[in-house]
Amino acid sequence: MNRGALAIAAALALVPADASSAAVAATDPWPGAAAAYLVRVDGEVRWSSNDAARLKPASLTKLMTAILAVETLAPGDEVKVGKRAAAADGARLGLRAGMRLPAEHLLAAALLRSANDACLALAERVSGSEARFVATMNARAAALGLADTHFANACGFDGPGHYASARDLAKLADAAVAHPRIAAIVARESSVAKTLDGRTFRFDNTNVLVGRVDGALGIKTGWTRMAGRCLVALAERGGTRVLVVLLGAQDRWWDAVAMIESAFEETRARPATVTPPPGPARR
Amino acid sequence: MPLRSPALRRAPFVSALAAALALAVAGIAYAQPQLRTFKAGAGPDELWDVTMKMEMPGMPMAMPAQVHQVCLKKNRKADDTIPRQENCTVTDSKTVGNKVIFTMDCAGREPMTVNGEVSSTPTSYEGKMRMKPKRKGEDMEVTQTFSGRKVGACTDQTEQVIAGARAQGDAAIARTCAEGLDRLNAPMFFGQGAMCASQQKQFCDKVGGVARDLREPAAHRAAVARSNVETVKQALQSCRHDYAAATAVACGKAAQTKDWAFLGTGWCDPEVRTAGPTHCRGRDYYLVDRSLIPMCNRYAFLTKGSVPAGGVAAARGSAGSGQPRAAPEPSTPDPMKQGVDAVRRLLPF
Repeated sequence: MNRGALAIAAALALVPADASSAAVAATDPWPGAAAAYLVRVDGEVRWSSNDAARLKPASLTKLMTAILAVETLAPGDEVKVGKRAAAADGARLGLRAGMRLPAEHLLAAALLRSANDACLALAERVSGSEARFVATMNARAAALGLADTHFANACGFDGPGHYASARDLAKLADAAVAHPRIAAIVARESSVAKTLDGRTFRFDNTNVLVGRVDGALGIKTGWTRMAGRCLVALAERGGTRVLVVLLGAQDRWWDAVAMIESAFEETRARPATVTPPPGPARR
Repeated sequence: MPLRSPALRRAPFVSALAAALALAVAGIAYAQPQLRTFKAGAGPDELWDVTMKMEMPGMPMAMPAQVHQVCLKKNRKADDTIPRQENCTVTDSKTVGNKVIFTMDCAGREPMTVNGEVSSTPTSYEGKMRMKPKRKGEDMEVTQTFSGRKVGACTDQTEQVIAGARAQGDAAIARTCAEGLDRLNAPMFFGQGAMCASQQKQFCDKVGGVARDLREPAAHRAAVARSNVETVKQALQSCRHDYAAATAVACGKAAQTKDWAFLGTGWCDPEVRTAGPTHCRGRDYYLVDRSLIPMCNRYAFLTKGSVPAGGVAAARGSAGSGQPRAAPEPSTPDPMKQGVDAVRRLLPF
C-alpha cells in the first residue's frame, strides 16, 4: 500500500461518527486528493473532506512555534544556537552550535525554509527547553480551541501524540497571520538569515505558490514520511480571502491551485448578496 | 386647474400671495433661508414686503411672524407673476370689489384644502387662509394671515438665477457623461431615462474603437483593467459589437505569441485547453517556467477545479457554465518525472 493510500486509510478510520457520507459527498469535489483537506472562503468552509481527522501535521506545526516566538521575542533579539538545535534532522539551514542570529532571521528560516535547526533554536530560546516549549504549545492550542490538535515536539516530526486536524490548522493559520511579523515573512519568495558574525544563509520559500498564484500570501508547507505532503495556503483577491489546508496530499501544488482558483471563481460568479438560509452550521 | 385663475390674475399682489401660500403649503417656510432672486433699489420692478403669520390651535406659544421681500415685475403679465406650485390648484374663486375669495386643493405628501380671501390696493394687501388637512385623523386646521406692502423698486433676477442654476446643472451632467464615456458606462447612455441618452452616438463611436482594440491582447488587458470585464461586455453589447468575437481574436494572437499571462486571465479557456496538455500537464508545478504559470494555473482550474468557468469563458462557448466538468486528468508521470519524484521524497518540506 503506498503512502497516500495509507494516509487515506488512516484518515477514514478517524472520520467522526457524525459525518454522514451524504454530507461528505456534498462538500468534497476532490475525493482522494488528500487524506484531509479544507477550503475556506472568507472564514466560511466551502469544501472539505475529513477535516476533523487527527493526522500528522508535519512542519505545519511550525506555525504554532512561530506564534509563540513572535509573542516572546522581539525581531532583533539575539538567539544562540544550541547543540541540540544544530543537530536537528530533516530540513535545516546548516546552523552550528554557538552561532548567534536575530530572532527574526531564524523565524524566516523556520517558516520559509522549514528549517528544523532554526525552529528548535527558537523554541529553546523562548522556553529554555523543547519540552517546556511543547507544553506551552499545547496550552496555546487549548486556548485557541484546537480540540483535535496535540503537539509532541516543536517542529513537526512524526511521533506518538503529535497530530492536528485540517480544521484546527485553519484556525492556527488564522492566529499566525494575525501577527503582522509572521504575515510579512510568509509572503516572501525568499529571505536570508545572517549570523551576528557575518555568515549569510539564503533560502527560498518552500511554498512555491507565493509569486506564482495571483494574490498568494503564504503560509506554510510540511512533509514527513507519515504525514505526506501538507500545505496551508492563503490567497487574497479583491478583498476575498481563500485558505486551503491539505494534509497527505497526492498532488499538492496542482490541487492547491485548482482549489484556490475554484474558490475565487465561485465567489466571483456568486450573486453579490446571498444570505444563507438559517440551518445547522456547516460541518 | 393650475394656479392661474382669472380672478387671481387681476390682483397685483397675487404673486406674493401665491409665494407665501406655496411656502406655507410646502411646509418649508420657517427654516429655509430665502433664495434672493432680485436686486433691491434700482428698478424697474416693484419691491414688496410680505409678512406672514401662522396660527395652530394647541400651540403653547404663537409662532413669530415671518417677513421677507419679493420683487414683482413692473410690466408683468398675470401669468408671469404667478409662481407655479405644482401640487395646488384653484378650484373656485370670485372677486367682490377689491376682495378675492378662493378655494384651493393641494395634493402631494400633505394633501389639504385651502380657503382664503385677500383684499388689495395697488400698494398693499392683506388676507387670510385656512388650511385643512385631508388625511383621516388629521383635523388640525392651520390659519395663516398675511399682508403685503409696496416698499420700493427692484430688479427681478429670477430668470438669471434660473439660467445660472440650469447652466450649473448642465455642466454637472456634461462632466458626469464625460466620465461615463471614459468608463464605458453603458447604463448612463442607454435605457429609459438615461442621463446621457443624447450622447449615444459618441458613446458607440468610442465603443467601436474599443471593440477594435480588444482584438489585441495588450489593449484588451488595458481596456478591461480600466473598466472591468462586465462593463466592457455591456458597453459592446449596447452598441451591437461582439465581445466574444473580439476576445477570441485576441486569444488567438496571444496563443501565437505565447502570451501565457493573457491566456491565463480566464478569457481564453479554449486556447488554455489546447496549450495546457503540452506545457502544464504531468509537470511538477514548481518546475514549470514562471512565464507559463498564469496559463497553467488556469489549466489546473479548468481540469481539476470544482466549479464551471464563468464569465467570458462561458460567453466564448468553452466548457463553461452549464456544461459538465472535464474529468480530472490522471497523473501521467513520465520516467523523468518519476525520477524527480523519487528525489522529492527525500526532500523534507
